[in-house]
Amino acid sequence: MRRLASGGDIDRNRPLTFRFDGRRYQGYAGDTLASALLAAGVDVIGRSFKYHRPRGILSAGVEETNAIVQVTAPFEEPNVRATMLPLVDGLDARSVNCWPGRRFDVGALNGLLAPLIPAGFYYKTFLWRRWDFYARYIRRMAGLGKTPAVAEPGRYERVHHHVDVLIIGAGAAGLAAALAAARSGARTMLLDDGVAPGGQLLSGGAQIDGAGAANWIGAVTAELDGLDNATRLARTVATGVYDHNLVIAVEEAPEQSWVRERLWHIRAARVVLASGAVERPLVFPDNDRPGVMLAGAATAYVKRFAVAPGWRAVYFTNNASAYAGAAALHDAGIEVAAVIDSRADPGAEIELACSRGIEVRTAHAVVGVDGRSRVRRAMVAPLRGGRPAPVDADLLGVSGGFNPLVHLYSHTGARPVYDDRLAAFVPGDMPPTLDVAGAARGIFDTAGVIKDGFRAGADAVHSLGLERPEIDAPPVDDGPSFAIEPLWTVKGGRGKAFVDYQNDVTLDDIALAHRENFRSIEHIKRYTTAGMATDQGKTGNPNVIGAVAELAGATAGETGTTTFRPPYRPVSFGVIGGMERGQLIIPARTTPITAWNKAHGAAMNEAGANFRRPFYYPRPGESMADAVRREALAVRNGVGIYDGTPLGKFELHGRDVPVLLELVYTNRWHDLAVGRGRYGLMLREDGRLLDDGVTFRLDDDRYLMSCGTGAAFTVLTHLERALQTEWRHLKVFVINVSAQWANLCVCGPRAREVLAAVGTDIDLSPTFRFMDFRRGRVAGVEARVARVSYTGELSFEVNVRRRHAREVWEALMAAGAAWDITPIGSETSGVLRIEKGFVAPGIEGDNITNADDAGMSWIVDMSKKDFIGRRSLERDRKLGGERQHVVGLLPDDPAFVVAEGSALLQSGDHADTPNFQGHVTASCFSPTLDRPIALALLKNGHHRHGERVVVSGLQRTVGAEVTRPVFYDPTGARMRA
Amino acid sequence: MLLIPCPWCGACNENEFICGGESDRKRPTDPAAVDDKTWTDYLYNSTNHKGMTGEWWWHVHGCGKWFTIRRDTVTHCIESAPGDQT
Amino acid sequence: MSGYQVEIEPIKSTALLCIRADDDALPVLQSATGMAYPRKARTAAAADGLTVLALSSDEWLLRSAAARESELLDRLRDATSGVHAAVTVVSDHYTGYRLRGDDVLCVLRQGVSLDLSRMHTGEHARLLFARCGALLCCVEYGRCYELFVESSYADYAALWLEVASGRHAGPAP
Repeated sequence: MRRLASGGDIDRNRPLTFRFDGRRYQGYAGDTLASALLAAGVDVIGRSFKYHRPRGILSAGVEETNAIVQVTAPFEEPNVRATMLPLVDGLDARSVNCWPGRRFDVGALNGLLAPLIPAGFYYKTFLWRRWDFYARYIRRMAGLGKTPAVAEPGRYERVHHHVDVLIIGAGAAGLAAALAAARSGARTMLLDDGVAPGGQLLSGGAQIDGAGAANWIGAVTAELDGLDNATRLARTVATGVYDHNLVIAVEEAPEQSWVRERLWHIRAARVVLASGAVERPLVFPDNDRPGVMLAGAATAYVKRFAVAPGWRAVYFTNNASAYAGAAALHDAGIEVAAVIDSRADPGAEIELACSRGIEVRTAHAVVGVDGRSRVRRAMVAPLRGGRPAPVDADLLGVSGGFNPLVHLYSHTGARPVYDDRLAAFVPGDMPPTLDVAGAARGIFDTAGVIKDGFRAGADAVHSLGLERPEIDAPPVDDGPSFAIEPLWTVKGGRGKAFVDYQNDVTLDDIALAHRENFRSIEHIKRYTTAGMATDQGKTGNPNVIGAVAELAGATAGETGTTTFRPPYRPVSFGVIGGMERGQLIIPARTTPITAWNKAHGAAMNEAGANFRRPFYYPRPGESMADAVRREALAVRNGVGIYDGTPLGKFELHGRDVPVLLELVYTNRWHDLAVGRGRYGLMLREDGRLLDDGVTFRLDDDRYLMSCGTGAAFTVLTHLERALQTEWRHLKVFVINVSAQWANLCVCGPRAREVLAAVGTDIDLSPTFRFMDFRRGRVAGVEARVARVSYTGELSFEVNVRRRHAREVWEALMAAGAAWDITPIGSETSGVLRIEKGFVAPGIEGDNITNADDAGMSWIVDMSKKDFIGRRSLERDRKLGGERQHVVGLLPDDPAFVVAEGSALLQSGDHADTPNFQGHVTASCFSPTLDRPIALALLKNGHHRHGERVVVSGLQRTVGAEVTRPVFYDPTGARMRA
Repeated sequence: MLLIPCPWCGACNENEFICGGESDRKRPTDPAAVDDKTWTDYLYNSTNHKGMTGEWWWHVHGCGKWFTIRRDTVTHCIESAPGDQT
Repeated sequence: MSGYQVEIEPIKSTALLCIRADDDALPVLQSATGMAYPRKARTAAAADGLTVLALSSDEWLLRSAAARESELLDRLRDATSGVHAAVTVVSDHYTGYRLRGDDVLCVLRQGVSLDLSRMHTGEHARLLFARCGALLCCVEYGRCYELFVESSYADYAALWLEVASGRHAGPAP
């Protein structure tokens, strides 16, 4: 048992029970899982990534590399840092990367294979078979944690927020900065990843204003909480800084109990990064054994959680900070056997040890560790070399210096610089709207940190035009000042010396990379994977840089850092997805007929522009082929009905509408009479097909343009761009009325009878010509009826206001019952289109298909001086060459429908030939012709009607005859009836 | 997620807009009169300048207006260009 | 109780007219409507049961009781027949929802990236809401808002609002 009798911020009145690897343990409210495991005497938390070495707890914070667990209750989550997980009653967690258990792990055999699996080994081995053969086995052995197998029950939110000043980190600097900013009246937000604010103040020994830090923290937070313009979030990690000061942060377990995590998108006018610094370990053989812990973390466990991480400690350090830790442990009743200082001449800090009778050995180093599942002895030798002497210990506190957490600073593209005095990388040039304060900037004394926090907050509000606030910095009684002599690697000793714990990267791997001529730190990182684990190298990177620098005979500054990218810490997919799951991933757009379709058994699918449309309407016992056949024949021989409401519809107003139409369409428009419609083809400026549709002239200055559902947005963009950027003088307004009008299409030879039966005052006789429209009443409702056909049969599009759609649809269904009116789905519409050879720009248009290729030269009027696409079409015609043309295909096998996308080959050519002739764009079984048909793009197709080609698909190859791309009613007599 | 300064609506998230490409390229006033090289140059070749570039943006999920800004393609620093706005 | 304190109701029966006009047409329009049109972003003007919202430098949305729709349409169309203006009924093109409650901003901030604390009572904006375009009107700051989306997105918006308000048990359906 390692719980101290008194002290700590835990609540001893609230004991909590938890399980780890199936065993029950007890902790207290206020513990993290890590502190509770330490208190319970659990040494080994898991096994390392590659070598499966037993690992214990290294740190007390987000920088943890070893104590990574799989949580199974109260929620399922892999890759959780035990140091950041607050203990709750009923928590259930498991160790990872070990089988059958963490104490005895078969994977440790990897350790024996170590010489064969150094950095980069997989580039050099596994060459004799394809990689995926080996990957299967390697994957099972590598990796940490398991992805949950059940659907996530938790709910996630994403919120947008705006502030004047965002402060990241509520340690001493962040609290000070937030106070300064909030007092000036600025909208201020303070984030901290801990449960309680304070950062390092919570375990430090500084006296602020004559009392412990807790008093000052309490006073500051009370003042902030009392201000309307200040917000404070706990357990919230800023994961990235993006363009224009967008900061993304993840809040865990927010106050709203139904939200598991909340993603904040915070747009801040100014950002103050007060993220602090983390301690780094020293690099010596077997520096990863359980019981080797960061010196500051050992102090944190004693002070914050009343846990003794061991009962007999040795410290190994190259800087002044470890002495305060040794003193703190000693004062808590833990024996401190010695402080091993690599420096020859430590400063005043040495008094902290001497006055407590703790032995100090200067110019010495720890060159090895005895003990596998737990430290038993530290092997100590003079730095210059000499026989190692053992020192009994069950805890080895190490301090190699401090790494300012400059990750978020680096996200802005700014680069950190090396500070010789601190042996650390600190921020370099500041971007204009982001500032760094406190330890993150390389200020390590508490007084300095608080002052710097006040400065940063005041600077931020001042730059926004607000008055700097009145701030009195409190007097601070700190420990000895920071001093360090870098010791990047310890020479002598045998065993693995780790520079990156989480990815199991050793000093030998760095040396190997150097021997193999990798010089750039970016290459060494990727070759060895140092810094590439989920801890992003928070503790390890400077040690890697220092080791590389030594090998290259350069300085750490010259070696430089790699680039930090978001996220700063792993982010769950749940919070990234937020609410967008299931039906909310993609908006399902609907029409008033959607509900009717679903109620009448339609198979629904997502058609263009996110609309949910009926695919086909199967009757009981019908297959899709049966239904499509029945629906298509109904349209050809009787009457069908479909909902065309998703079509794009735009009203065009103004005296220059004909000019616009002449510009965007390839044909003539100025002679379109009121009451008439015309079919038009739109090209892109590069001459390729954009869309086609019918435009009606409603009135002198009012037109209605319709376009394909999937192209509606593209067409609107095209029109608005033309009117607002290029042809700004044209007096035209475009108004989107797509959802104002429902469009119910009655199609087939019996269409007139149905409309007459439903009741209308519109004259349906042949004086109502093809492409006319008329106004009147249909089924008692005001309507605009147009004679447009997309099916090739007699068609009446009944346009009514959306609110009447359902009632009119049902009236038409009832009136049409006498002729067995048949609702048709998009599959049937597709079949009817193919039979007629109606080119669909989005299907036959292959991004190189122009109007001529599509067989639509008839609608292109080159005598018009200018229209969008004209110049490119002219160039295409002049250049000539081999172009792909739209053709029809009659496949040989009457029972086989060729697959869309199948390649067209010349007879005798192999499937892998580079001599592609084209491909199938649309294919179906034609109920009208009772045989399979297809449309295709074929090289020089217009001149190859009657020739034969081979259709080569994944399943089969068949021969086919090339024909005109129309299989039914080529003159269009039926739709003009 | 850039903040685009719309002249009517103010600064809004870039996902409310469609970018319309370089604004310094002008369509020839008489396309029939220019040679193929000039025409394809206009169609396909952007300057792709490293630094301040004029761009069209359309506030489609907003006021519906097209306008130009000047944006630094390296730093994303944006200036509005009031003269070019419609 | 789980969920935010907010009620969501469809807005029934309102007339909406899309008004486009260039500067020359504006005086004619204002005279025919009987009120001055607002010229600044987010501002609206109201008189005699009519509200006019400024949507851009040449676009307004005119709102009134449903019963007045055809009279307004005819009157304004007649008045503007000689100038460059367009008056179009869009009452069915949009579907509106009224959101009311103490926690209404907690719901809206999930779908709207605009700074809602800077939208005051009486103001409005066209913006991206969740995954569709919308018009958001602030009826009473922090307590009551109206949201209009294109009608084909109405079902999506309704589901989105339900889920965002935290009342669905479990994840989104």
